[in-house]
Parts: sequence; C-alpha cells; structure tokens
Amino acid sequence: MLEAELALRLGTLELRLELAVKAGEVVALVGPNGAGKTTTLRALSGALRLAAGRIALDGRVLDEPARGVFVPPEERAVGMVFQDRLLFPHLSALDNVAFGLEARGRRRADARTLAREALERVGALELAGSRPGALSGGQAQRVALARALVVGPNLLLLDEPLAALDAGARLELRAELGRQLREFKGAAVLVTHDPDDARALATRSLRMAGGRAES
Amino acid sequence: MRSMPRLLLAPALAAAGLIGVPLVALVWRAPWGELAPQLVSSTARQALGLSLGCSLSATALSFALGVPLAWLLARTAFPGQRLVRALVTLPMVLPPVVGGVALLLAFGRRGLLGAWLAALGVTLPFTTAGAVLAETFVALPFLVVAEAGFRQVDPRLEEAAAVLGARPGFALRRVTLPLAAPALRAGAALCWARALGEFGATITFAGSFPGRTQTLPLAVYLALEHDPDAAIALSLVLLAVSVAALVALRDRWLGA
Amino acid sequence: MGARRRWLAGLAAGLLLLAPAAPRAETQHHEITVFAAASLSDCFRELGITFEHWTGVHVTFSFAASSLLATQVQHGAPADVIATADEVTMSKVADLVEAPHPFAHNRLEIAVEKGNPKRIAKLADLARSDLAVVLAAEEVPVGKYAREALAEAGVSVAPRSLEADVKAVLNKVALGEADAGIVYATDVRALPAKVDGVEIPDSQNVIATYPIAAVKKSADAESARAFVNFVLSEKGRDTLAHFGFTAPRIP
Repeated sequence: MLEAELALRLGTLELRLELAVKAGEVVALVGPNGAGKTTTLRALSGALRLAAGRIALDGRVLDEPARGVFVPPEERAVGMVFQDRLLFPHLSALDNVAFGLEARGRRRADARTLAREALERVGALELAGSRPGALSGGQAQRVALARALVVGPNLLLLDEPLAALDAGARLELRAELGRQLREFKGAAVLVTHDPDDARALATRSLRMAGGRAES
Repeated sequence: MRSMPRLLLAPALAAAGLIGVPLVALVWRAPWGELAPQLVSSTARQALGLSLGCSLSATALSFALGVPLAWLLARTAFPGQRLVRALVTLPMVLPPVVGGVALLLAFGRRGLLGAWLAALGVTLPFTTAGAVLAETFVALPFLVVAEAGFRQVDPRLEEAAAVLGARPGFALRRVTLPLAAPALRAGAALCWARALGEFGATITFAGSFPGRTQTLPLAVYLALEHDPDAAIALSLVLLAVSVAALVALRDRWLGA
Repeated sequence: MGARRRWLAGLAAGLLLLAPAAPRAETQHHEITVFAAASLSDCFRELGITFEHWTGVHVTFSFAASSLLATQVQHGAPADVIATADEVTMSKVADLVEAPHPFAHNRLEIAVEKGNPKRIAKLADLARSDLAVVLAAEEVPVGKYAREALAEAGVSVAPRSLEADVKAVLNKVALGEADAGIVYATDVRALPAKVDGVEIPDSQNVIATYPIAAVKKSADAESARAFVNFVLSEKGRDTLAHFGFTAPRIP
C-alpha cells in the first residue's frame, strides 16, 4: 500500500500531489507533457527528494523531510520501467535483468537463473543473449519490464511504457503489460499521456496538470 | 567512399609530411651498421628499462589519482570546481622545466612539503621516485580530461541502477566505469606516451644519473653532445617502443 | 599590353634606384649570432652590449654546453662565432671555423650553499656520505675536468646527478638541492647571493682553456671576425677578468 503526499519544486514545476494506491491497484497518471507525471514517479523512486510531505510504502516511511527521513533509491523496494527503457548498453539482456539481483547481493549464477525465468514470464527468453542495441522497441520494453519485476518490488512504477512503439508492437505489449499488472501483487503507478492505455491497464485514473491533480 | 573535398587534401598531406618526414629521416640516416653495439650497450638498456618502469608507474599513479578526480569533476558540483579543473590541466601548457622547478620548490630539500619529508627521511629529488613524480606531474592531466568520458555516460543509467538496488559503488563499478572505459583507456595511452617522452621536468627535479634517473630522453640529450650516433640509436629505441605500443593499443583498445 | 610593359619597366627602374640604398641599409643593421659555453653567459652578455655600442652590430647569443653547441654547428646551425670551454670541443668543428684563439682561462671551484653550512673545505670532503654532490656529465667539459681533478686528488665521489651543463650544476646548489657541485670559478662569482666557493688548490686544479673562432660559413664574416678581435682586445680581457676569468698565457 502506497501512501504519498508529495510536495517539491523542480525548475519551474511545483508538484503538489496526494496519492494512495492499494496493493493490486494500478493507478494511471494521465495528462499533458510538463504536468509533473514523471516527476511524481522520480519522487516515488527516490531519484528526487521531497521538499515537504511524506512517502510511506507498506507502513515504512521512505521520505519525510520534517523528520529528516530519506531512504535512498537502492534501499526502497521499488521497480521502475523508464521512458527510454534505459537498458545498460554494455550488458546483454540477460545480464540487464540479472543486474538488480546482483546489486542486491545475489551470486551471478543464481541471478542469471532467476533472470531467465523472468524473461520467460514476459515472453522474451530468446532475447537473453542479445545486446540492447539489437533489440526493437517492443523487445527492449519487455526486457525492461522483466528487469524491474525480477527483484520483487512492492511498488511498480511505469513511465510511458508504450511510448515510441509502432502500432502493432503497442497492442502486443499492452496485452503483455496488462497480464503482468494483473499478476503483480503490489501497488503500481503508471504514467501515460494516452487515455486508451490508461483505460486498458489501470484500475483508476488520476488527471494531472501543472503539478497538481485535476479534480 | 565519400569524395574528398579537394580543399582538405593539401593541408592533410602537409600534416602527414610534417610528422612523417623527420621520423623517416631518423630511420633513414641511422648508422645501421654501428647501431647494434649501441643498442645493446648498458647505457641503452638501463635507460630503456628505467623509461619503461617510470612511465608505467607514472601512468598507474595518474590513473589511481586522476580517475577519481575526473569522476568528481564530471558528476558532482563543488565550490571552486572550475578552478580545480583549470589547475589540474595547467601542466599541459606549462613548460616542463617550469614544472620541474615548481616540483623542486614543493618537494625539494627546502621545499614547501619537501622540508617535512626530509625530516621524515624521505628524499624525492635525484631518486627514481622523483622521476616518477615528475612524469606523473606532466602526464596526470591527460587522464583528468577523461572527465569527458564520464560525462558521456547517461546519468539516467546511474539513476536506473540505483532504483534497481545498486549502491553507488556497485553502480560505479558495473555501469559507469565500463561505459567510460574507452575514453579512460585512450587517456591512459596518452598519459603513458607523455610520461615516456618527458624530459624537462625530470632533468630539473630528478636530475640525471644512469640507472637511477637517466631515462631515455635524458640519455638522448646527453648523447647528442658527444656521440650523435648513440643519440640516434637511443632515439630509434624510443621511437620503436612508442610505435609498437601505440599500434598494439590502437587496434584493441583505442579503436572505435 | 603596352601599359603593362611600361608599368613593369617603371617598377624595375625603381628597384634599380633603390638597390644602391640597400647595402647602406644593411650596414645599419648587422647582426651576428654567437654560440658560447654556458659558463660564459654573464660575461659575454656584457661584452655583447659593449660591442653593439661601439660597432652597431647586434649580437644574439646561444648559451649551452660546449659539446651541444659544437654538434649544432656541425649540423649547420647559423652561428657566426663559437666559443667553447675546452680546446677538444673546438677541434670537433676545426674544419668549419677559422683558426681558433684561446681567449681566457677558467679554474674549477667547489660551489657550496651560502655560508657553507656543511663545512666543506677541500676536494676530499666531497666523498662524505652525508653530502649531496652534483657534477656535470662527463661529456661536458667542466664535467670532464672535475673528474680529472678528483682522480688526481684520489677522491671517490658518488654524485646524485650528472647534469647537462655547468649552470644546471650551479642551480642545484643555489636552490639548496645539492650541498656541493664542481663548477668554474666564474660560475661561483655569478651568484654571490646564493652560493659560496671553496677554492681548489693549483696542485689539484684543472685549468680550462677557452678558445674562440669565427665560423667560416658566416653570413657576415666581417662582423664575426670583429667580435673575435674584440674579445681578444684589452677591453675584452678586462671584462673577462672582471667576471673571474684569467688572461690567456701568451704562447
């Protein structure tokens, strides 16, 4: 369960948002560019610090400036799929997926086994040995999804997961994403500018503009 | 192949000629007949061994000190950053002899820090360690400019690594360094080449003594005064070593 | 067509008119380059100023170890006059210069830090293990002489460095990096504020003979010879003596 009261300033954007997401829920943040959707995700992931407010995940406080609490990103149990995928270009797809596990202390062999399973679950096992540069948009997105899910996060953040894909790949991936989100046990926040995607994937939508939620 | 703008042909040929002709002349006019005894003389062997040892040590030291600094300059913002960056690249424009004098004033017997070191029993001038220090002084900047290598690594990749659970050290080792590696390797190669050819700072700070501080460039300078044949022989050794190393590195490490 | 030819003729005539003026302009701005041993730098600079004052010929100097200068002349460096710190080095360029003349003598002296804190009194002291001693390399005349003097005196020295020229030896002592170095008496006199000298007795000393010669291929042989004669003249000898050189023995 995610409980967040966000208040921060980034450049000209002032973000003020209250967000509560139950386990199993998928909340879509919809709105135009510059509304603060990605900023919201980055605050939840820990890449940005709050100026005021509070973020708590499953009862654990991740960020509360008033009490001087800040948990760095690597210690939050958060998984994120980025707008540009951001797969590590020097690693194979398999090693990309295994990265998070190794970072958390798993031995390489174990990490790779789990990574293989994760790739299979998203239907991308045959891509294991490929470099990110050789993957199509849709394929890379599947790998990115596997990479985020394999570490077993409590909160899943997705930033425009279907952007920059051609129509065919979008539909395919949207179906896959829907499957994964339904199976996912934690809370999920999805950012998209496409209302159709929001309708298809989310249990609830929240419109944003100018750093705030529209009522 | 793209057609070459004719305008570029003449300057390009001139550039190749400017570098190429003197080197060809060196090889052409070498007294190949008398070269053999020169090349295996103890002076040559000592100088070569010393040059290789000192230049490699200087490169390693530059790497150990320069890479962290390059990372700090690329990824953080601290007060006086621009000054530090300018300062560290200064040896590139400073005449090496001036660098040598500066080193003496800092680390010599009466130097700013040297006086304290002397009290502790540590002497740097006239020692091999001093030669390494002089070479590091002039070669370190080449690794600090590898800062550009760090900059071209997308910081969002480091952010992604953190979200995936990587502590800063893990992310540095597994993401940043591997991606910055080509630039760092190129910097290290330049650094080594600069250290190998260093003369002014070395002779001023470390002096010149066979087997201890008389590196190949110093040996060539001295040989020039009394035995030009020996000087040419030693120059050829230096040239051969440099060319061999740079050719070997180019294919495997520096190539795109 | 006709206009151009007339224009060219006019230009040619103009140049011919100017031609006689050209050599006159030349005599106004003679210049010679003098290659001289490093130990002559302070003295020769002063001689150069006096020479220009008297003759209008501007002198440019290149000071370095004699051996290096000789090598440069052998390879065609544009020197008009060369003055070395020993006759052996001058003999290396014998075929490139007119007959050399000895113009000064110099003797060796031990340069020590101002105040002689290490209490060095004689050549034998240089063998002390607590001293940092610096010599010039053997290929350099002063380095060769130093070795001769030490050998004659039976002193074994372990130098920290073999410098490329005598000024480098002096500088190491002046900067405080070396306790002692063997240089010329004139070098010690050059830095009175930083360096003291310890005399080496005649019996152990090596007297250096400095020859000077005009270079045959000089672009201005007349001015080159004039400079050589100036150095050999009484005024030249006076200036040399002022800097610590001794007069050449009349053969």
